[in-house]
Amino acid sequence: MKIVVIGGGAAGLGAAGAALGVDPSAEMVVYTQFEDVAYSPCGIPFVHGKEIESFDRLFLATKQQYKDQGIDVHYETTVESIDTKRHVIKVQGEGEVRYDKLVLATGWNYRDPNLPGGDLKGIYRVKNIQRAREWDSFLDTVKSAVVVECGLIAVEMVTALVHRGIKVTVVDPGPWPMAEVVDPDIVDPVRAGWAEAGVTTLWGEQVTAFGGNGTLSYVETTAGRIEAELAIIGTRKVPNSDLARAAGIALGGTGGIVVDARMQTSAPDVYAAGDCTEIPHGVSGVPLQGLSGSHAYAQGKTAGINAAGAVREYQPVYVPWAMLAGEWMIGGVSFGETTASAVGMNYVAGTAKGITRARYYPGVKPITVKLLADPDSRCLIGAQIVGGEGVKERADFLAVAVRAGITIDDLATMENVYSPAIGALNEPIQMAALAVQQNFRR
Amino acid sequence: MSFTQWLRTNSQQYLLADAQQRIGRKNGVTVYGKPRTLKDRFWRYIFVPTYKMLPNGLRESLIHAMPGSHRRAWPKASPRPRPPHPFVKINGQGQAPRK
Repeated sequence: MKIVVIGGGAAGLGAAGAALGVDPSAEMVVYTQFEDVAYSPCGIPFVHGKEIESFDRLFLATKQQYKDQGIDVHYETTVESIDTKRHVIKVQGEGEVRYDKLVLATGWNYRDPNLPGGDLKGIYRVKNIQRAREWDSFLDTVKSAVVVECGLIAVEMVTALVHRGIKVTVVDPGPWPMAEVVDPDIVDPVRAGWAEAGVTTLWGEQVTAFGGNGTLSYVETTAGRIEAELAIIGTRKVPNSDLARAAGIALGGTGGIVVDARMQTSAPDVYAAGDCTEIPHGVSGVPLQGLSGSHAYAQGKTAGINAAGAVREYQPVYVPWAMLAGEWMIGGVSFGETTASAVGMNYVAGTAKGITRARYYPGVKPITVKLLADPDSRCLIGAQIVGGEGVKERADFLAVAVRAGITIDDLATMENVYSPAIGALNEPIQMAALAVQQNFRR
Repeated sequence: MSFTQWLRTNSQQYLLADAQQRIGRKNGVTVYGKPRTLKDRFWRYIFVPTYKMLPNGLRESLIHAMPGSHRRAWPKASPRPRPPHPFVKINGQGQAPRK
């Protein structure tokens, strides 16, 4: 059996490896338009910020290791079209290539802000590791930068640029950082931290043009002109699904490829995984696109296993997420108040402030947990967290709690670890659940 | 861009903007963003209030009727609230007390 994968990111290489795990005799070919496969693009801001010493650290494996595994990766090779009826793809420089099973893992792009001057040098989209190496040297020459919209990678880039001593201005049409996913009270410490670090923020404003003579020297915004040698594009992720669309494969309202739990698309023997797809949300059922690398990898493995002839089902998502934002960790699960209000979902919320270790133990950090519960079933439907540490673990736990239908009453009586160096007497999740219970009584 | 993509993109943008304004106000955050174009006015003053007036059931049916991955086969969600652990008997009943 010949399995062809288009895309060499987490989903593509996850699919290739998992498929070979099921059927080691399968002929496995991966096409990528880039110079490398399977590195962590999310790690790029941390190399720019000098927290990680080298871009080489971001690679998961060497090219030889993929070869040794039996994965034939065609680098810098563009797939031009797919003929799903004939089971062939057209590859630049190779002609028509037959497949038995095809996995689309074509990933994402930044939404194009489509602004005048968008082709000037000095406009950086953080994604490709080879380009990142070139940009890293350029950053040494930059004094002032503008971040155009404040998506998740852009938030990490703000920290990186501050670490490099670059003056940063954030211009975002939203009212606070990551306003599509985070509530204002949760992100408030991040805003305060940025202000302290000298970051200028222009919320509710938009970039209208880039200017300069061949190279960026200023950015025009609705709040006026800003001198800058660098602009970071931080617009939201959009699916790279053009190849699928041209092949007549069904796309959903997000623009992502429509898939079922086995990651099968509308075309026979064609699977899709990662940011080019859309996956239903576990609480609302609304399809979501643009999830994390861990989602892409798990979806890729599901697609690969099914493509190779075994059966695995992926689940609707509850989207636990967490990240470093300045000196803070911030994260969440499923709904926050803003997103729940946007879809018109009723909820009762409660917030608690706690600490991450015993109050006397060195390194103790503050943490705030907000929980949202469904008023009828009292089940947890979402959470948001900000703190100095321990955010990721709580987000993961709460994602399982939402998925399992755990109620706020279960959480209000939960047991928790107490050990001075790693956990306080009162667990902030339990305290937040008690706050929700109180608000239910009002 | 297909009709459903156009609808999803715009409805998401303006429903979020409306929610940000309400949640921002509740948290003492001034949210700017007066409608700048005719398109802004349509989505903010006609679409958003209409969406909010729809009963929950109708709203969910409309969302479900849109093409997308949610209309394909997916594992069902766990029962809500979850049933008690099979070993647990509270007050002689196999059901946890609910408030």
